[in-house]
Amino acid sequence: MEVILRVKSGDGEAFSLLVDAYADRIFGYLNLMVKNRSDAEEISQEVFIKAYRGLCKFRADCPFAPWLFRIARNEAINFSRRHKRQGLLAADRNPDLPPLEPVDVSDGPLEQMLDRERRKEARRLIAALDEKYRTVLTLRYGEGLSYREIAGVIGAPEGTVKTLLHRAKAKLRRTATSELTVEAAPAG
Amino acid sequence: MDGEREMNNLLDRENFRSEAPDSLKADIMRSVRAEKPAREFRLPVFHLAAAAAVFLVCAFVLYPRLVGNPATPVNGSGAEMVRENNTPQDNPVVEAGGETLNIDELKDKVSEKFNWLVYEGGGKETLKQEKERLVRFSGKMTTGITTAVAEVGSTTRTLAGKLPAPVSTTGE
Repeated sequence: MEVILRVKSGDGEAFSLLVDAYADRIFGYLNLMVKNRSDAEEISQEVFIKAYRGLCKFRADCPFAPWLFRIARNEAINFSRRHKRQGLLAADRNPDLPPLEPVDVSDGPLEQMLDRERRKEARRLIAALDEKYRTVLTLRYGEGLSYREIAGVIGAPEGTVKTLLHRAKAKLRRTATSELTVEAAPAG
Repeated sequence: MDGEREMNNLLDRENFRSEAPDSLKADIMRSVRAEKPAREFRLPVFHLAAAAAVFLVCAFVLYPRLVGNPATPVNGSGAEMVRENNTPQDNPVVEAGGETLNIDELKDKVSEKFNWLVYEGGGKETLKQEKERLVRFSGKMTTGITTAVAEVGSTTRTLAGKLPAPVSTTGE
């Protein structure tokens, strides 16, 4: 809060504290949205510049994260629309998922590898969901935002957020189950 | 139970996060430094007050001095022209039909005319018509006409209550 007030009073360098605090989160969200690291990087930059420009209108008594994620979501949607017009649908893009962070070194190499594979698979499944499902899941489980804050980000009532989350989880479960069934089925 | 655990694994926080490249933060700050400072918008009270003060000075001091010197007929004959000099507003000197009058004397002259009209039964309407006639005659509204008509109107309204029936029907 104090940082925001400092930026609003003209201290541009204080904005670096906000960048440090939110860059990974915004980048992670956008990476899941546009499925491409370099695009996510470019859009993240746009998001923070827009936030900086719009910070003078931001009410300091409101939570900052939902506001920033709202900008990020709008930018991601605009980006997808531009690419759709150019004939490159988001769904057609190869998911370019990020390298996973190293897991706890106390685990053995086999556990590390399995954990890495599990997370890679989870990200692939999440990335395959529709944009609205990806958004609510990321904001809820990745960012820990409340229903109300998510509602503010996507511009919908809280009831809609709950419904979307329920459907997203159901779809994720179905996809995961069906893939496991396919993998388990004997070849030929 | 396994399904629940599988779901928890899928929805693990780390699955949604990824570390931004180091260059991203530096690039953002480079772009931000190139931007104008994001100062909080404040209502420009000082500027508004200054603009209002300038407007008031122009409207009430400079404009009447520069523009307020029209020709004004007084007694309804149309032959006598009144010219206000560029003198202070409280009691400007005017020239009416060859004689020099101050604003009080001008009001007396207008008042004589209006009292007569009011007595005839015109009241407020007559006053309005007379004002329009004066304005029409002089070509524009002047400070002298406005002041004289307003003050005379006030006097005649007071007087109207004391006048005979034709006047009281005007509602004044």
